[in-house]
Amino acid sequence: MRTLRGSLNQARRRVLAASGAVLLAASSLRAASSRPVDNQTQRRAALINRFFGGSYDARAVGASYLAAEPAERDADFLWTRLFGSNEPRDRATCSRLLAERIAEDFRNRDVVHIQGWIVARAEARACALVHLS
Amino acid sequence: MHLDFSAAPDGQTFSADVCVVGTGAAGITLTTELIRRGLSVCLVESGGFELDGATQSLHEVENTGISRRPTVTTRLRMFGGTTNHWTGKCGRLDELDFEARPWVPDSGWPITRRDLDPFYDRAQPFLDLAPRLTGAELAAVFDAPAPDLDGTVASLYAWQLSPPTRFGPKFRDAIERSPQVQLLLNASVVNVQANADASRVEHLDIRSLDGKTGKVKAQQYVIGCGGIENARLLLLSDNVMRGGLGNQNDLVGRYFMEHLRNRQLVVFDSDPYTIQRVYNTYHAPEGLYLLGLGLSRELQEKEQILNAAFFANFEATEASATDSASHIANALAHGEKPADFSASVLRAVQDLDQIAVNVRRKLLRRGSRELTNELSLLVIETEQAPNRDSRIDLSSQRDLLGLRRPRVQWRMNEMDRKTVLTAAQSIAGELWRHHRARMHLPDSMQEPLEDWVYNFKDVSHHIGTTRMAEDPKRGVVNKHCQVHGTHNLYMAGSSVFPTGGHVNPTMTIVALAVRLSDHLVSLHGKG
Repeated sequence: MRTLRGSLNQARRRVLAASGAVLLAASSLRAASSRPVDNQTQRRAALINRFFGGSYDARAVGASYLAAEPAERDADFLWTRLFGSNEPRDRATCSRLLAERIAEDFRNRDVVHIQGWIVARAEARACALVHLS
Repeated sequence: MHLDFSAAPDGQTFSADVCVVGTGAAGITLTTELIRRGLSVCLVESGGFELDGATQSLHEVENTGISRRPTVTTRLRMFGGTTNHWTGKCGRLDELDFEARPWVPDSGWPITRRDLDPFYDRAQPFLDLAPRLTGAELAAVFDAPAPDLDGTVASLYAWQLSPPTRFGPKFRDAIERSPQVQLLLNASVVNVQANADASRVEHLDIRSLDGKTGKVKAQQYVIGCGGIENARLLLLSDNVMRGGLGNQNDLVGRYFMEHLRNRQLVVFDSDPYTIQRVYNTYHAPEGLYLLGLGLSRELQEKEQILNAAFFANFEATEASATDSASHIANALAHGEKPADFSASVLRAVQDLDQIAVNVRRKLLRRGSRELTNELSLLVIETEQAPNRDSRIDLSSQRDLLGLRRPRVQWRMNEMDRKTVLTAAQSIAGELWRHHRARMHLPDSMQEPLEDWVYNFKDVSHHIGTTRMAEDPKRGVVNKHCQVHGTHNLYMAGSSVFPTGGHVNPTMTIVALAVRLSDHLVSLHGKG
């Protein structure tokens, strides 16, 4: 039987993986992608990744979110939902707006459960944008 | 004086002003207060000063509802009752817990928090508690970095921690030496004998395991044997009133509630110390406190949920992996990538599988316990909704005294489930906002009710089975804890709670016992 300590360690490992244990998200943005992704989506994803410190496994979170919400598999839709318009944003503005959206979603209990972690929908959408890049 | 009833002559009758059945927190508190005010007490205890297997087997139940821990391991049939192994966590019910909440069917006490506050104050020395502090006051006294919580979601909540007080050892001497007390040990009440119209109790029938019989006569009788046994004794006493004493409206044993406690909520801090610096145990010269979070009245009303509270447990992890994780987490919290990011990440991940328990000690200023760099386990404790179909009745199985055992049919409902999920999601927001911490809820916590119930173990808080209400159609006892229709019979303990709040019941049990003692003293014309 798995011990509670073992379960918690595994859970913590998943969180660490999502929170920066893997460089793949950052490095994959630098590497040439085999998927046809437009430059605008890549630029947007890079801005969001900076919010998470550049090492958050946003792709994994985003993939899980889009698996549950396939209708949102659209970079423009996600960007607009997060930042209100298609206008380009600088890093500081992105970070500020994203933090506000996340806080608002928690206030309204607009959350999703991804691998058991309670995540504000805005954060999940931001990760989805990274995944699409 | 005490008497081992099993060694006494058969057929004795014992008399006193008041008979108190049970020597747990309620019975001992009541006895102490009554003799202080000049009344005589016959105190009846099914067990002795030490635990023994045969007597303890009298606590066996037939369980046909949600799986529970065996009652023989959670309730103690000996002098001092279950205070012989309780953990000491104390608190007052919230004001809202006493109110009739429109979204909680069958909620509402016939007394208010304000009515009970003076008795909570008098309960403090029984439980050896430090002076009462609110959560905000506790944080201020110990200079804890209290977050600016959204008051519409939650606020800081402070539990007072009893050492824990063992009522048996603490009060045994005074009870044994008192000329006003006859303590009968190894004497089980097998019948509450009422008069022909059940308006008064005439005597109690008692019996020992080896077959000795006897009677107890008093002007008033108080049953304080715990939430399961209290209901059982009334149901067994059915030779005058069909269905059992006080059961004219089929309420005895119904509305059986527990507290739901779940330890699976895990919080990972971006900065591992921010949570521990606040949600911790605090040591004052007068005693201990525990600081956590309680749901706001606004959230409960808005979301139509029950009361709930959170506190943290901590688990240590090996230093180097934790250092790496802290290093990463601190950087992330500032939106920066650490300089040696790759190495830190790899070290943290690789070491997780070989993590040895290691506690790093780092003292705070006076007050909070030593900090450890640990994984935070968040414990949620929630109230259960009053549920008429969650109940105690009588089994066909019999115990060593030949009495029908209790049959426990514990139920949960959708409001219980909704409360846990909503509370977790709401607190997750506050933890993220103030600590950049993330909460984990296992997938099993989102399953439909019939499977969701397996996330919980009972915590042995047996509540509600002889509930309090002024209307006999809604309760078994009135606001004085007197059984409706039987004027000299009273119930003590958490069986009288109409609702349970989130907080452990012991302090409320003691407060109600003090209050009942005042009422009984007034009946005897003593001040």
